Amino acid sequence: MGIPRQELEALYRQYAPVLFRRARRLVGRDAEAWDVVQQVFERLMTTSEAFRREASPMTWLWRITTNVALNQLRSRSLREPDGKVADEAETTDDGVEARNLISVWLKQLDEREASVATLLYVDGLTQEEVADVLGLSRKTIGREVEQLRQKAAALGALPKKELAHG
Amino acid sequence: MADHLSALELDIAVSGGTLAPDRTAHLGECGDCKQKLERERSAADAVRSRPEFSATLARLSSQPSVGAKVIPLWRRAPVLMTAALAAAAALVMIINPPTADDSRLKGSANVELIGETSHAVKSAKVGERLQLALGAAGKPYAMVLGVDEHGAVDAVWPLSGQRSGPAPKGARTVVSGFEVTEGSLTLVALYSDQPLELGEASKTLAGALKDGKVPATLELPGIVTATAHLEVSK
Repeated sequence: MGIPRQELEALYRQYAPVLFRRARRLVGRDAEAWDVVQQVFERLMTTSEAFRREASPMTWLWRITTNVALNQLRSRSLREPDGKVADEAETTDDGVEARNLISVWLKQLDEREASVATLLYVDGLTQEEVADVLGLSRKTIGREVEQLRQKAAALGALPKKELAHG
Repeated sequence: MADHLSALELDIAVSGGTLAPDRTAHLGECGDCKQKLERERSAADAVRSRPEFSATLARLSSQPSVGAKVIPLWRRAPVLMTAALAAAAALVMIINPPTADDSRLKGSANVELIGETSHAVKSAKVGERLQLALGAAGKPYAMVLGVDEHGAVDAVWPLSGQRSGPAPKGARTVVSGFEVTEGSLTLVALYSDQPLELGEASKTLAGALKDGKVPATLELPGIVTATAHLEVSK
């Protein structure tokens, strides 16, 4: 399997900027966000035939970016058990809250729950969009979201605005 | 008013994809979403100018899997791929013909198919490998359509998405490579200030054809065009 250099460059120019910005929102550090972008494109390069058949390339890219970014954060928590979110370059309240929540989800929820919670509560996607990104049925997501909400609330790991909507 | 565009929808729009019709309609009438989209586009442009952007691409390009296989450029155009072999006489560059030394004025709109010798080619054999090069004349968005021997219009570049992609900088920048398949075709590059929708652009171009062929002078409102014809033989 391979990808022509020109095609890789065209896809990179088209998608890398938005993927970097999304990865940056999740991992909070520039260098790690570029690592995420690189890994996403490495995945794309090894599955380029499947990528070409994607009806919605961006949902595929979001799925991979979410997985890679959350894995990056898992690795970081092992590498830097005392790492503080506040040490990161971006210190907006929203950014800090988001990464504090993700940190709890990664420790307390399973992989899928953590992905759903990230897409739903950090990215603010609708349940339909979450289903599309994760390649799951909307019915499945609908069922899981309420359970997830209760679980996250019990952990004290729901965003403030979600608590306000309560 | 409907919900504002989500982060996913904004990313789709910024990268040249197509939103659902109702979301496109919302974007058309929502000042907040328009502003947000412009901000996201500017931010994406800023990311492209960062040194890490080029460095990451360089790392990816150096990997062994890159360049290992050439994919047909017009993969989304099965009609073109299966068309009968053309034996018609070559009709070469229609607009922006090459100057004597085959170089082009910097800044002029341009589309070229480049062969192994790095020169623009006008004819090729099935199986030959060519590169698509664009010169957007300073316009920020580019789309390339292909018109086959039967006058059918289909998308050629960007390789994915339903809208124009970010135009490459430079007067002659390679954006993609492909293996020549059966059937001659004319490439039409559309350079614009705003991204074009694939459906609309295809319809507009189809309407401008004369007897199923791209006219010698192609004028589309608000769009800078460049055209190149490739005659394909067995």
